[in-house]
Amino acid sequence: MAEAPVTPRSRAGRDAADLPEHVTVPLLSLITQRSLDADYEHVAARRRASGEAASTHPVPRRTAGLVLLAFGLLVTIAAVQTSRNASASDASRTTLIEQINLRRDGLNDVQKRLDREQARVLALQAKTNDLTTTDQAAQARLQRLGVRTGFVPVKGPGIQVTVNSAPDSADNQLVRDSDLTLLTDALWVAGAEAISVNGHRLTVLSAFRNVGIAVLVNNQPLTPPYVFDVIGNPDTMPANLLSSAIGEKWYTLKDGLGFRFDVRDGGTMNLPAAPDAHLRSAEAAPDAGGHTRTQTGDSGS
Amino acid sequence: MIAALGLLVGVILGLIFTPDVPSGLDPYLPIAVVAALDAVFGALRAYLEGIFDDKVFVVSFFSNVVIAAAIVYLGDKLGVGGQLSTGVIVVLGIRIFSNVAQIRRYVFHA
Repeated sequence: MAEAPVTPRSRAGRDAADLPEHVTVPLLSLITQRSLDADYEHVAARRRASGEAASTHPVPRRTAGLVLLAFGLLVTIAAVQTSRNASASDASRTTLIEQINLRRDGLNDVQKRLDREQARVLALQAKTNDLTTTDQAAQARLQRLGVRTGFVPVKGPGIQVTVNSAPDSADNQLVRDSDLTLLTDALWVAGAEAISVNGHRLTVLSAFRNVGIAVLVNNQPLTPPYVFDVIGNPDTMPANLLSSAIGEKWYTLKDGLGFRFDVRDGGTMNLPAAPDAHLRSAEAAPDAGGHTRTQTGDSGS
Repeated sequence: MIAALGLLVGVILGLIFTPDVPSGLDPYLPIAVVAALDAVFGALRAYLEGIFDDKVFVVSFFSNVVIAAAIVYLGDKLGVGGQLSTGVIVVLGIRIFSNVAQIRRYVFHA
């Protein structure tokens, strides 16, 4: 019982004493202590033991001189090599700096070009916006004009007017081109927005013509009865037709010649577009004048 | 005397011939120089202590150089060349400093 606390302490003390010096001494102290090669002391001790003449100052001989020569050579080579490498790395550094400066200049140029191009892009975008606006306005105008002049199909509420000659009427009592023109004018005055006759859309260029007893519109023959699809306000147009001066003229004419005449609500109607007018003398002007001039110049030279 | 002469002749030869070191040996040269420096200072201290020996000096010089270079070479192969060089230089540096301190004590009898 008394031995228990003693045993570990005694073992620890014995172990510390037994351990070699290089285990117990800290590493840095050890390095400092043994900075001299132990071999020198070892050889000196052996020489003393063998009883050689202990010369107090053994002189370095030729071998040591040769080794020192090698040492000097080594140091010089290392120094020369380092300075040579330094000049080489200096040169490469200078080249790199030059390249950096060169590239930086190039970058500046590119940046300036980028700025210029961006400004150009902005200008072009503004121009595009202008042109788009103009284009939209032109489209809207074209649409409006197309509806008005009859070159665009339209749809809307309207009335249906049917005209025919009186049955068993003489040739001079048939419905003629001038009668239909009068009715059309009256319808326009009454507020018609688009008119087609027997499926032929009336345009600003349309005219009724008589060839013999047949009536032509848009150079297409019509067969009686003549059915007018008229888009406009179906509530006001019949009344306007009656009350206008030209409408009154039409009613007088039809009563005099005994035409059968019928006006009724047409509901929602779809009117076709008139065939494109063929231009004979007029032609589209070249859109890009500059382009044409360039071509002219090329052919001239 | 012969030692100083040898050192001088070595430096002059190096300056005259400036031999090219193969680029493969480039990283080991500075370490070899430091190791050689350690051996030279150790020899100087032994000389001043009166226990200098030619054979020990030659052996310690070459073994120092070869081992230092070999350690760095091994470190390079293992990918820890920089750290191993640092370790070698620290140990050799400490040895050089303590040897120089001893030499100073002998020279100036301080």
